[in-house]
Amino acid sequence: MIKRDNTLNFFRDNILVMVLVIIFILGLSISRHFLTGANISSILIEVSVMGILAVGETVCMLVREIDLSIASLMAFAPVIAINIISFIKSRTGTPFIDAGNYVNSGLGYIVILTILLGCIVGAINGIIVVKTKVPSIIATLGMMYVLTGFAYVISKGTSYFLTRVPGFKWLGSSTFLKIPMSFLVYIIIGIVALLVFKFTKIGNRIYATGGNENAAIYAGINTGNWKIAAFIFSGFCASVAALMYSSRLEAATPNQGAGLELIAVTVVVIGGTTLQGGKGGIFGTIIASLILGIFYNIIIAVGLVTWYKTVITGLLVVGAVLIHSRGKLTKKSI
Amino acid sequence: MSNNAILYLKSISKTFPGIRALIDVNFSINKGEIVSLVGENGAGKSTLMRVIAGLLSPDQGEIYIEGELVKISNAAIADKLRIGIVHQEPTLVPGMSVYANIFLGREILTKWGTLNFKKMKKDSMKILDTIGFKLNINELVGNLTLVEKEVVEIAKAMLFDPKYLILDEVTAPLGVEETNHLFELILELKNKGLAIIFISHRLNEVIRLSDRVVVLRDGKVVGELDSKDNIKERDLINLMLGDKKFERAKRAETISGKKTPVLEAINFNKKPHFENINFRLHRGEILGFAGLKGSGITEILRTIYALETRDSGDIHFNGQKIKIQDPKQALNKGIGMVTNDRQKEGLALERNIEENMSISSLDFLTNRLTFLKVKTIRHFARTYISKLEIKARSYKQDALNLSGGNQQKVVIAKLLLKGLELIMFDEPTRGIDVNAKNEIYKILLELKKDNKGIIITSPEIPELLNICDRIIVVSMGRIVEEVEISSADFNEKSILEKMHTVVSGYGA
Repeated sequence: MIKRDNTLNFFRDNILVMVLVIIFILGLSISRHFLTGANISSILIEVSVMGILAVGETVCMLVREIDLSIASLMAFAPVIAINIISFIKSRTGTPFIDAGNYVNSGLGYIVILTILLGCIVGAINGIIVVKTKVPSIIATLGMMYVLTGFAYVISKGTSYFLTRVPGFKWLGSSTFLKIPMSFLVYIIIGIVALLVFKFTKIGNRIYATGGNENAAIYAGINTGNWKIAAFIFSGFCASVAALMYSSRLEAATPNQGAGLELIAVTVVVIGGTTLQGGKGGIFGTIIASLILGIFYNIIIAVGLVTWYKTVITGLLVVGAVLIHSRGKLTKKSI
Repeated sequence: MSNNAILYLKSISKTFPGIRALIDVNFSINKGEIVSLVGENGAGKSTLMRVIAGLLSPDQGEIYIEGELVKISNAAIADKLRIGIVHQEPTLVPGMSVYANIFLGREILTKWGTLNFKKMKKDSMKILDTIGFKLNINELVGNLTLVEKEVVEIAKAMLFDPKYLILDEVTAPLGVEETNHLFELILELKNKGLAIIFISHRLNEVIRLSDRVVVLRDGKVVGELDSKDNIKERDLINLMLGDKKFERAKRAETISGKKTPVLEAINFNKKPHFENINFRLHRGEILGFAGLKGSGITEILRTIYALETRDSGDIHFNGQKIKIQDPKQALNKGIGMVTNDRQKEGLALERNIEENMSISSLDFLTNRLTFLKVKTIRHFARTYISKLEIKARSYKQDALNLSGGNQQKVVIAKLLLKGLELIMFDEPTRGIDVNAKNEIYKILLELKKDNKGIIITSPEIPELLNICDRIIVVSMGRIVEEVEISSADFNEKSILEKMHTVVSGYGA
């Protein structure tokens, strides 16, 4: 057996949490407004959208696939949902969208249909990847363009305003014990996923499918189905992100979320999950989302121009990859 | 074949597109019996095992267990029928722990549906105890050695107390000691009444262990030998090869002479792998290195080839001291190496034969404008395909689809094309069937006639005795013996003993 230096291991296994603590302290020291309610709220809200997308993406990457369509799904799902409801309602003579693109009702329908669409698109992604063996990076890239295109065509490039939909603000603007609701929803979904992975067979199936697909097949695991499930989950997360975003904005625009797929992958990579699959996990992703959220907040507080954001994000990614891949595999991450 | 056999396969046939993998195969095994299955690569052994393990369903034929007709449609049913199998390919997930791997696909759940870690860990430790091997069940499989991984594979197969155990090439990664340990275990299981099917290329092991040996060739059963009839390797090989003649590779005359050695290693040290290594290699000589797994031989060769660094030591090539910093320099000097992992280190599997052969020689296979000299490359590819008897549809065939033996020949061709003076072969016949092995021996002897210097390692001592002029025995990183084959005062047993020499100060 390999004898290992225990302190070094402690560092390596817990490095993400330590980085989080460090960057938190950094934030505190940089600005006296850091710990104010408004600032923390704004950090947590940004973290929720990045984070929920990243959690979905984590599951995809654990099965050795990638989903690049999640960001475009953020625009597609609510826009198409609204249009579907409008179409159905117009059959019964009830107007759904008033002049000026104001939606007037139907919170429940919008929410349910958005999530349904997210899962369906995810399933389609999964089926394409598994049945046609097209690499997921290509299939979901194509899907990304299809979804964005559809969102624009159907909405004719205009946005839908949801200020008159009663109750729609709840997800984006309400709080519980001063904590923004989106963040609570994100954390709850993340923790549930974490626990399911750790304590049920599902975690084993996902890690095996990604870690050694052949071994999983020999063990009787239906790896195709698990991959499709992973894509459905990332589609689901994307639709939740869509609702969080639209609720905050009180609008559904056809280009919302653009570019967030890469930030999601960044968070996942910093969190320790790699494209090779079978390694890493949701816990790392959650911590990484917090790290990145605080970090972006610091950049704004310090007044740095936006491109600093990109540069240092890039450095964080490279650093994360180096640290996570050093030496042997350490503990199985959750 | 007796009718009260507990596992009986009747007239099993299986066809894949383009290949008739199994043709009307009858196979049976009794309680407490060890039956070995032998045959060349592609003869159908693993296919037949996959049928028993529920991974494949036969196109025709029936399977009877204890007299009753069964349909083994998936791995779970095979589990229920108490069939355990250790596959030839690794079936472990590197990112998961030992116990998670052992229970993969058949996890034990608590009454609430969650994973029952405590029970799985406990049962894993129990099964490892039964096998007699200590492992940390929490360790990630990716961090284990090859031997430890094989133990986990065996634990997987043994988990649910199988009545039938299939061992497909389990001794391939094992050294002599571990193999003996495993054989003790197999005999214990036999005494307990298990029916054991043993597949191996190492015919001496097969003869040693089995009650019966079944020989497959091209998907058909061509012979069945009983251990009572005193089976000889030659008989098995004749059945495996059919009409092809088996020729023991003839050793050419050793070219003796006190010429300058083509290679001299002086005082090679690399703690903890090897220490104080000194040896010489002459032109036209085949030097064999014998040693147990972990004895340091592979590291020594890799260090000469500059794949690994060393602490100290000099290399003299043709009498002159040289410094080699990477394999490219080694190749340019005329030193080449065929490593023991052809798939990972010898070939670009997605590329074809031509491309693989020419890759080390591009400096003279391209013109001044750096364009490939396509016709020349093709000519060389054709030449070597015929010279080395590589069985492929054409030079355009992907390396991935070649059998082990042919893949190895492509790697060798790559080095021959370069035109070297000294080639080192690390376990060149590993995982290769008998016919291809003979062809590789022929190649080595040709090289020897060509006055090249050759180093070869192998865990099979008869192989070394067959073609080497000299054998150096390494144990625990030190040279413990050097033997000239022409002198008669040694034998396989004594070399084996020397390999076990305990060297003091090892690993210090």
